Amino acid sequence: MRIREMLSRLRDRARRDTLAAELDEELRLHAELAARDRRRMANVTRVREETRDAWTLGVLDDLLQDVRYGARVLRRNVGFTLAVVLTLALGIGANTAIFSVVHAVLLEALPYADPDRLVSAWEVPNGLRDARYAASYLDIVDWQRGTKAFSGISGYGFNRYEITGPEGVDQARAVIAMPGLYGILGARPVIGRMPRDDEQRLPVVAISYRLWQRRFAGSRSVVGRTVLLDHKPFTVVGVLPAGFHFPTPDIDLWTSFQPIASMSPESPGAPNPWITKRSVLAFRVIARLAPGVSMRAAQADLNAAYARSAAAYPDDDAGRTMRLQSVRADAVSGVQRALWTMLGAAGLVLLLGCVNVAHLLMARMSARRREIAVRRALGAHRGRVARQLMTESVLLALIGGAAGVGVAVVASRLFVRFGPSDIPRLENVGLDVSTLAFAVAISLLTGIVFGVAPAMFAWRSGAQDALREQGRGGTAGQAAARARSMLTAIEVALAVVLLVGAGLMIRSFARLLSADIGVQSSGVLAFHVTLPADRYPGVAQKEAVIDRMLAGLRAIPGVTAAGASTSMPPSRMQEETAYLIEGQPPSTPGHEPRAVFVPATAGFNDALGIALAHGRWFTTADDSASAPVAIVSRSLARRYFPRDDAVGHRIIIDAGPRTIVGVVNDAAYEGVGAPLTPQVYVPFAQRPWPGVWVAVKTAADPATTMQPVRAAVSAADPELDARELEPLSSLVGESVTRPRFQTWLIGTFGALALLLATIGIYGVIAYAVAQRTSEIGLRIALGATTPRVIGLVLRGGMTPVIVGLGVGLVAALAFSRVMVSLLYEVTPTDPSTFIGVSSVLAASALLAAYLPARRAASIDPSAAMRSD
Amino acid sequence: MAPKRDLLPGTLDLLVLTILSAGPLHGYGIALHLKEFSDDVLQVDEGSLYPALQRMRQRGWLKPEWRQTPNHQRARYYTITAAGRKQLGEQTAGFTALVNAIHRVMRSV
Repeated sequence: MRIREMLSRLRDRARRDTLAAELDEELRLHAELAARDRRRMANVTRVREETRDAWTLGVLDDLLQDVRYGARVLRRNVGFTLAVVLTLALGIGANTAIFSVVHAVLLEALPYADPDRLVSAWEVPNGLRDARYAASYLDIVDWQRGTKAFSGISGYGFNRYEITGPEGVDQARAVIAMPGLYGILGARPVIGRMPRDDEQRLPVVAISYRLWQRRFAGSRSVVGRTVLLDHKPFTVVGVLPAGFHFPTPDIDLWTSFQPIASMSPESPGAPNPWITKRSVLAFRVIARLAPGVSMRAAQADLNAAYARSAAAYPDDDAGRTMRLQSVRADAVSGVQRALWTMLGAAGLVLLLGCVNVAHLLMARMSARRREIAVRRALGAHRGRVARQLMTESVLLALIGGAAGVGVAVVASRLFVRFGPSDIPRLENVGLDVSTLAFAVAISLLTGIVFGVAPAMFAWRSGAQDALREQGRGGTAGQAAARARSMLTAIEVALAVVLLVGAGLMIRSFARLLSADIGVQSSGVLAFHVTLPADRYPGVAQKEAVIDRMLAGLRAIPGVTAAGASTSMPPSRMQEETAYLIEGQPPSTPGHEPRAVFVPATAGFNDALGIALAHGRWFTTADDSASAPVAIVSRSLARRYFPRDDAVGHRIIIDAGPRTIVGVVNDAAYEGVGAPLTPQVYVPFAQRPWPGVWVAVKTAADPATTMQPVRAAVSAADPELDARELEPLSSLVGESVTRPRFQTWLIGTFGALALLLATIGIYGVIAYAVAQRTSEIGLRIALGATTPRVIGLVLRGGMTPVIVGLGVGLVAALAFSRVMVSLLYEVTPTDPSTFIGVSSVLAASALLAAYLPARRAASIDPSAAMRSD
Repeated sequence: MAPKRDLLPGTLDLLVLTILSAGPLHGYGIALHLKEFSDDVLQVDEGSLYPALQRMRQRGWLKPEWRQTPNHQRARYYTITAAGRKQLGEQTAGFTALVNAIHRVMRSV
């Protein structure tokens, strides 16, 4: 019944003109008949008014009326409306765009079944609270039996494959799963299935949606087909849905355990240390909490299991504890802080925009005083007028929000395109319902925030006040001036906080770019070559083909050096190892010093410009038959040999002692700006590996050398090819993508903040000058000189700026602490940033204040005093 | 002239529906009927009657229709609908119960 009535009302509302005409006719007849019968009748107008209420929508109709009126007012002031809408579009757009990233990356459900019950487990060495180690295969197998807190626990490793076949060559990263992994994840392929636990020894693989589309054009017949991964046949058993990532977005292949189960790096048939040794922590652990088990209880259970392993195998498993972490926290650990910081920064920009808009509205309120006074005098209730003004503000905000959504669409496309590829699920960023809801919500909120001041103004002003107090700045004028000063101070304070943030990021990024990575990257080409185990089973074959390839590379015109190793600076680290210097007391288990372990050939240091400090680099004479030797980096040498006499001492790696024959400068292998781990180099021939990174130093243009490099690799063996061939400088650049992106973002926010604050200060002072035209004219008439007038205006304008600077600096000191983890070699209280930001802001404010001050000084006193 | 009484709240709908249950009438006719049959005791203000007619139309109790009066004037006649009759039944029952209750209380003292 109620609904039916409401629908009728809505329908009547739509045809209210017809209804009104009918009612008029009805009442006319009524009046006619009443007159004939000489009966009294109520006032027809009143009857009509009261009846018409039946087909209005009450408050809604008032609102519509307000909106129409507001729209008319806004259309009449195009300049004002444009200024406000543009300011809001930038603010709301920035927030919506960042929110779309936050939503896709941090808030949206992970693509696993019941993702909140998924945990990763890490081994944390005692005393190294922030370190996270993987686990050994045998330990994980023991835990599968020895824990009760999990409905499943398993592990996985990574591999890099070259996919070959009629579709061409693709590079792809793979996850190699221990049995149970895919069941724990609850991965649901769109077609086919995941590798099964009983396929441990079968070469089967599920592929990503992306790879399916790109390589197989989405053909359903891909399931059951054979693909060649590193020239070995694998059967495709399934395709995962778009947006399925595990554990990171760069993985395209998920295989069974077969690649590891069948692998033996040294020679076929030899035991594979990845499986047989408890000291090789090669597998990341993932588990699903059993129903009803808390994280804490599960961690205790796993630690008990670990303690049993440690008691049984004290040489391998001791001195560490297990730590559980939610998979969500895991997936976003690096970016969470950064994203929330960016959202906070965007919020500050919007707040700054609100302050500017509030001031514009306040300024316009003085111009509209008369209009409001007239409406009050005609009987409008103060609440009704305040509501009208609030409606206008919200309407403005919604228009700004609509434009802001446009800005956000563009910005989020840019994020997807130029954002760092290591941010999980970044490609899911886009405008969806929740993002749009966010945009609408902040638009409404924004409108209310900057609409409060004008609405309050209307509420407070009496019907007669405004008519009486024409222009000549009475007490209300003073209150408004105080309010404007406060807005200026707030604006400056907000800008200081943002600019300090931006300044810190920019300084940090500059430091990062000039960070010493220990190698000369200019003129260097780097690439990776895989040595298939069937063609190069033993040490001698591997050594021979690499020597042949390096000789070919060195023969290219312009090439001055070439060398190979298992890792490549600044971010391709293959292996870490524990070590011991002979003669030093052994460390407690779990506390062994660790170093990046780099089997390298002759010439590797020359190609990368890794400077030799003492002794010598490897030569081709350091082969599998010669005495075991090692070269250590300076940081390692300095730690144990303060007198620079490392050469000649021995270092123990993997139980075997090696004589130190040289000391080289440190090089970064774990990313630009990451803390340096010391390095130990050994001759490649003494620790061969079925794949190498090659560095080629050329005096010629690296781009033109690429083709000859490929040719030289094929010449060594047509089956080999140079993968990921690119200048080393691009590897270095790729390593700083994320900080670059963050710096660019917050730098944009900082620039916006500076712009908005400058415009705001200019607006406030210019308005104040316009208000005081006659007063200033009087002063000039009484003999005030130009510098005095300028001084007067500047003093008035700069006082709130200085207050704002002070407040802002204190706030920035408090806030910048959240940025610690985003900064490289810059403290969050970096004095030069704070001083620089203050000066830049003070200078902009001074400029913004000077222009109106000049205008004030050039006021013509006679004209000014006549003006009102 | 007898003293005029304001209608008890809520009774206007009941009276209008009752009058219309005898046949279609226009607004003036309803007002006239109410007054005549109550011997001038009940009087409804046009400012209440016409909004009430709109409201009852929106609730689906009445159906308006333009027709000629016997004097060949165009007038809007209101006809009671099935829903209106149902409503009339409920309201009559409720009203009778109320009046009886009031009577009982008044006699009890």
